[in-house]
Amino acid sequence: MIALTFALLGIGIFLATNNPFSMLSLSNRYAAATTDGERSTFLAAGQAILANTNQRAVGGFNMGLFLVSVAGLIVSSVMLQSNSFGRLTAYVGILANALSLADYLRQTLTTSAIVALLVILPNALFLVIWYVLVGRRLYQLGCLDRKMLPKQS
Amino acid sequence: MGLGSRGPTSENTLTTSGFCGILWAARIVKDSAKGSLQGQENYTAELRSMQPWSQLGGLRLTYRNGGRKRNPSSNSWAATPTAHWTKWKGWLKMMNQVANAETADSTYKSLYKLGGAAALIVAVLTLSEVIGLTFYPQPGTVSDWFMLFQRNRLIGLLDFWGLEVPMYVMFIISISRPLHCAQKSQSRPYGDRSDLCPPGDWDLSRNE
Repeated sequence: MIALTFALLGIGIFLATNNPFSMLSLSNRYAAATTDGERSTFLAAGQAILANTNQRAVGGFNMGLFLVSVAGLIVSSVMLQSNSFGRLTAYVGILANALSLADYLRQTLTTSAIVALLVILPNALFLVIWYVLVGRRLYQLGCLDRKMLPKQS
Repeated sequence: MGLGSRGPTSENTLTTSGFCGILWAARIVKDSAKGSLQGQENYTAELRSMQPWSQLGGLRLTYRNGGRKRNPSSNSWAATPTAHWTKWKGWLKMMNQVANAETADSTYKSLYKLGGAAALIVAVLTLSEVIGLTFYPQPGTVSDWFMLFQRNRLIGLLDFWGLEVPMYVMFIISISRPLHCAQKSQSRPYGDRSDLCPPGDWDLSRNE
């Protein structure tokens, strides 16, 4: 319940602060602007939208993504104690979401691109693996009909 | 007045019901101790096959006890018109319960499949985003962003974390089922699930 609340809150914050369609609309209006004054107005509005996203890529701290990572960590730890999901799925989930949270720490400590890649790339890889494992298991549970399921490691 | 005076049928029915109940309880204890998936599967099958029969036994008892009235003059049990109605009401109730169980089963299975599909979609979207951001890096300034949107809207939306909107919606769909499932397997003992958990939610042994 806590994980779901965090996830919903995080996604709400993310959707409220990241709106690519506003940027697209501003871009169209910027292209249609005829005077320098109009262009500078749209540039300022675009800058405000970009700053509002607060993404890590632009040096910000997006609370939405942070909460989603915390939710993922809670879900993975619940999976670890459950019999319905394998330990591998739980550990991959914990690793992926912990790396995602570690990236926030990395951001405050260093701006090195190599360190960033060393954190972000495994994070993305483990996240993809986690989603695949969870998806596969859920599909198996959906197909369960009085037959043995394959062993979960 | 003992049970035997109500006729041999009621006694047989009571015996059958009791036997089913004892067998059922024994199976639960045995499977709980065994804790194997095969045992749980047998239990599931047995539950499905025996529960209606147990209800049928209960129905016959109701029919004998409630459907007949005792005649004080002859000190015997006589059938009344309400007996047939009680019998059919019981049958209808039993058939509805079986139908509801089947509907719940298919609904929960569909939910699991939906969650699984959502998780796989999130995986594909995450991979697409990583590849997209690698080949089309994000611009640094606002004017560059505007130029990117004018040049290629799709790439612009992708670079501006546009894929994360459907990704998070799918994320919620995919984690709600594992959470529900994991929570159930944590909070309930095995024997409690016969009436509370839909058939798709059986605790699955990890077999490690």
